[in-house]
Amino acid sequence: MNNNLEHSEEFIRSKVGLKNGLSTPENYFEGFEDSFFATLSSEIIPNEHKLEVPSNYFETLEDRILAKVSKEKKETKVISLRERMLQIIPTAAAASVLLFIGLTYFSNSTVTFDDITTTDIDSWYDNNPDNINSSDLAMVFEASDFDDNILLENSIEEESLEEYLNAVDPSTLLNEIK
Amino acid sequence: MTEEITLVKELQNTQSKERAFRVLISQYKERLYWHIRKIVISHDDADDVLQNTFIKIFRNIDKFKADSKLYSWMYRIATNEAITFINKRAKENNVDIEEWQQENASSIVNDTNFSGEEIQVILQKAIATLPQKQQLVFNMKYFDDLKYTEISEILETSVGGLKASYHHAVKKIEEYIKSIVD
Repeated sequence: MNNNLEHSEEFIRSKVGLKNGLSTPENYFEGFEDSFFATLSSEIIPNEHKLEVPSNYFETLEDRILAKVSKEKKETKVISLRERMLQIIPTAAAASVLLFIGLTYFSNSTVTFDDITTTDIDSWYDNNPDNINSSDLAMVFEASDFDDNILLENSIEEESLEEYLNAVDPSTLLNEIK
Repeated sequence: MTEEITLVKELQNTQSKERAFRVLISQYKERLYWHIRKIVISHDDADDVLQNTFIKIFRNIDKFKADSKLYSWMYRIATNEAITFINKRAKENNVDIEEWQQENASSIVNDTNFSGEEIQVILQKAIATLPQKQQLVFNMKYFDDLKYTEISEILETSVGGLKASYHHAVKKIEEYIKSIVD
């Protein structure tokens, strides 16, 4: 069997030789290490990130943002002047009174205005509504504390002003003018 | 053998891995290239498979155990990569692997990286008619002159089985050539 095999091998060798005719481009092996490490780097650190965006995402982005912005503009909440004043006045008054009391009676203590929380003020005001009168407020505030420009600087919507004037008792306004 | 053990240690050490891998590539690139090239035939395909083979070796060198020889472990990876590659190519072209190899062998004359004569084309066509294992054994024995024990380690097949495969392969190739030439 071995002789038979050797005979066949010999036949192939005599016809074909030991060459298979395959060749490589010139200098192929010389730069192989460098080209391999370049491939390896790109395999480990891909050049492009794999995150994708839906198709036409950027084409329609402007329209979607503008639509959202104009919708938000329309939905802006209008707070009436009266509501705002009613919210601010009690808190400011209570804070002022507390500050006055603190400065008058506890001037030696280390309590500062910052130590008083809004909750404390609200709580004090709720429990002592009769203790506050216009004289108290007048004692606390100087005329210079009130600047007419505040109203000019804070734009008040005409609609809100109208609403406030409609709601307020005319006799109160007359008393104010006197 | 001592050199191989040292090289493996260096390859498995993060500090020396890249330097050692350059040594490994320079030692084995040509042998592995020709082993792959004889399976996939085209140079461009062989280049792709060789790169993939070394990438796989680089990534898995830490798992290499000294219970087999480094070169046979690498040959095994190269063989698997090359066979997987031609299977994939055959599937992409909707043909079975035998048909794909026949077409590949026939188109070798148009390859710029083929400098053989008509008899070498006949030989490639003859090899393409063989079952996959016989092709591998024939190429490794006839062209690379590897010992049966070495081929046995690479292909994880018994020496007896390999001898039988080689015998069948040689006989079929002889017959094929005779049918064309004589």
